[in-house]
Amino acid sequence: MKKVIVILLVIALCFTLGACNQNQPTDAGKTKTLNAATYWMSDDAEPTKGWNGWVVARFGAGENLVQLDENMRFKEVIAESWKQIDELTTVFTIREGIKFHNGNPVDAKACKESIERALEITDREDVKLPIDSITAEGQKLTIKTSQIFPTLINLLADPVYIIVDASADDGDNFAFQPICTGPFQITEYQPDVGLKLKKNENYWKCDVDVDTIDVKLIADTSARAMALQSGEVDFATALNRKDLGLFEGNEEYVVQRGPNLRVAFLAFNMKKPYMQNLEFRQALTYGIDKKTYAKELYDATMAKGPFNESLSFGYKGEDYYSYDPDKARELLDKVGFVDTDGDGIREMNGKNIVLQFATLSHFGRDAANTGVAMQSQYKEIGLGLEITQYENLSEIADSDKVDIIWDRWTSAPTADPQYLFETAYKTGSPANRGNYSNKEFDAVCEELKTTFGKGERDKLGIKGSEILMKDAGVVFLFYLEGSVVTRSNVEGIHRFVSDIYHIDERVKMK
Amino acid sequence: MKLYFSKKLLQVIIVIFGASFLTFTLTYISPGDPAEMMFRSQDVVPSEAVLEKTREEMGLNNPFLVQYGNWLINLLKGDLGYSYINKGPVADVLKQKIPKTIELALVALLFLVVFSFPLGILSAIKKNKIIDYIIRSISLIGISIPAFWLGLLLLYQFVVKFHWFTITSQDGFRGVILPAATLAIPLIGRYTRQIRAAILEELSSDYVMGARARGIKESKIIFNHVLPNSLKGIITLFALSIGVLLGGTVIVETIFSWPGMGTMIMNAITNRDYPLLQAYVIFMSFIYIMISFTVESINQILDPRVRLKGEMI
Repeated sequence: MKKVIVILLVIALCFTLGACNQNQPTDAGKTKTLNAATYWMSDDAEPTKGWNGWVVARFGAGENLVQLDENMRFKEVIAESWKQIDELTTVFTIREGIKFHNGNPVDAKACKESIERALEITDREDVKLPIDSITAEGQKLTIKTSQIFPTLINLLADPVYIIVDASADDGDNFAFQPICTGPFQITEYQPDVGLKLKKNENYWKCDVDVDTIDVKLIADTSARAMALQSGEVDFATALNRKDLGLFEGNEEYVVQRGPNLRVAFLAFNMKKPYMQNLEFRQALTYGIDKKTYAKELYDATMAKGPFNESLSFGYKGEDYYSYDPDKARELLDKVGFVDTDGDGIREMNGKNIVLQFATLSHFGRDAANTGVAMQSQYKEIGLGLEITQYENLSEIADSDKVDIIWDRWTSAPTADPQYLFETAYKTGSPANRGNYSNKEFDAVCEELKTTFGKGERDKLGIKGSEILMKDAGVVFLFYLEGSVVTRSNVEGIHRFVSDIYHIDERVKMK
Repeated sequence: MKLYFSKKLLQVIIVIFGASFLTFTLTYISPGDPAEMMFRSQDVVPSEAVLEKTREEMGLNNPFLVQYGNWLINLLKGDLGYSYINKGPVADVLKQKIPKTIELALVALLFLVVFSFPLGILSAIKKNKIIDYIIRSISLIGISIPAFWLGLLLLYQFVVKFHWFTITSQDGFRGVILPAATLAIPLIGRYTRQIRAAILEELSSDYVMGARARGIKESKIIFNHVLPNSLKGIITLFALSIGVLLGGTVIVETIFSWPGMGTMIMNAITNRDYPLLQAYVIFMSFIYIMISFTVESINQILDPRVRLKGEMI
């Protein structure tokens, strides 16, 4: 019997070990394959739907007329130039010699059809353009808007407007292998697994060095870091700070990191009468140690305003209300919220002040952790705080019970302040969860609608940010950090502040 | 026999109908607007007009019973519906996920059987000896390690250090070993201890003493008599584990980038994807019914006393 058991155990061990072949390096001959890991894949690669276009742009498959470079500056791509003729009309000159992945030429007509297709089928309300007419003549594309629309160029840089060969849309496979113009062409797209791309032999700008890209979906951050460590991938993004420590200072890897466009903030519910009191809001803001939260809770960069400082319209001055519990107490005393019964919590109309902190379960631990940290700090200034996670945004917006709402936003995906201002803070805007309303701020939003010129718009962005910060209706907590780690055999991958792009024609492998 | 199968079929229909109705009700009464959640899953902020149009398209404005009735009618026509989060027919989504989940579950079960039986038997026959203590300690560690940590540990050791596997290789047998091992190790720990206990209980039976007294070989006693008698309770537990494994495992799927049903159903719940959720419930109900049916049959084979008059086999 002993023999039988021993044999069974040996079989069991052999069964496992036998399967564990030494990982043989793949002999790809002269083919240069870049292995990459991504943390997110959209359900398909149809650029007009939701944020799917990010995946198409991110790995070099799709290009726009105009794009944003790594530092959020506009660069001409398919359009070699553009000129604003009048307040409503912009003329783009389409670059000669560009071909789609299928070999079809890219001219103004093709661009017109692509933009019209996007306008027709996109589900993104925020990128809809007020188009009066689009006309194509040779390489000249003329877009006329029905109203003054200064952010036309910005929105055309959104991946929704990636130029695709609309005539190749067969309604079936196109959503997984869109025909675009980028240095790489998607050859396989599996939302749960990853995507494969091959070099675009007809790429207009240069000869692309890398032959194929194999992008693998690795959702877990630690697993992504291990894939880099093991050499399974040459490039990965969005690693957490602890994992980045494994690669920083190691000559086998290149680490690029910095704040990206995602901003987390707290919105005070302005429907509440006591939230109308500026000094109360200031006290609430002084009571939050967001610098510590950013460092200890989120591995992120503390925020001052809605846009990070690297943006031309990011606020660069001193923070308005840095953590100061004494000032918070002073202001609370001043507005008459004092602790009369000695239980450590101040009262309002004879009742203890217990504020309601709301977040969405969707936002996960980051949001809830803010509430837990604030609970402790607010106690020090004599305020109670209860945390509730909601399933639905509308529940929060309609709820009279909520005082403080945690929210997160991609602040300026098209390098302009108008998008965030109009979506999240303008009176009555769809994502204005705190019901914030400020005439001066609304006036800035109105001005942005008709102001041309980057310099002027940047000034308005800073002005609007300052109003929001000073008014303490919103507390900007932190900017998420973006990171890109490449193995030393890879060159030409840059960290884009927008986080939209990773790979372009500059990528090279030694 | 005919009567038996008719009864079983009726049970299947009742259970599936009941489970689907219950799930539909629970999803319906739980907070959250599926239309809004569908957009939110893509970080899209829809206007109220778009939301209203989407609710209408999704049939969410219909009364509860109409919604359920429509779903049921479509199901009877063989249409499982349209998955809002995957933007495709539910049948297509399941077609992609089910094979991967079954593959993972089967390999994990294989590990479970291959390791837990020899270890459990060895531990029982070497009761209170060093090897028994070692097996019991390892089993306890296996049970106690959280799945996410075990997964990362295996990745670090076998992918980063030894380079025996890759994280993302989901094709072929090599790709499934680490996730299956992560699933199997806690189960191996659990079943090794249970097999040990069941065998020890049987070993103390009078018939074993009688067999030994008659000079029957110990291995024959163990494999021909003790093991089959110990299997009854263990098989029921095994069957439940199969159900759990086939239901999908979110943590292991996330760590190993395994495109199975665990992550799918978690997303479906989070985003209130009713059609996908309902199809999953139907699938799982069917799986559990089949498992229960199989276990019943195996137990009847193993123990003729379980057979009911004129009903089976």
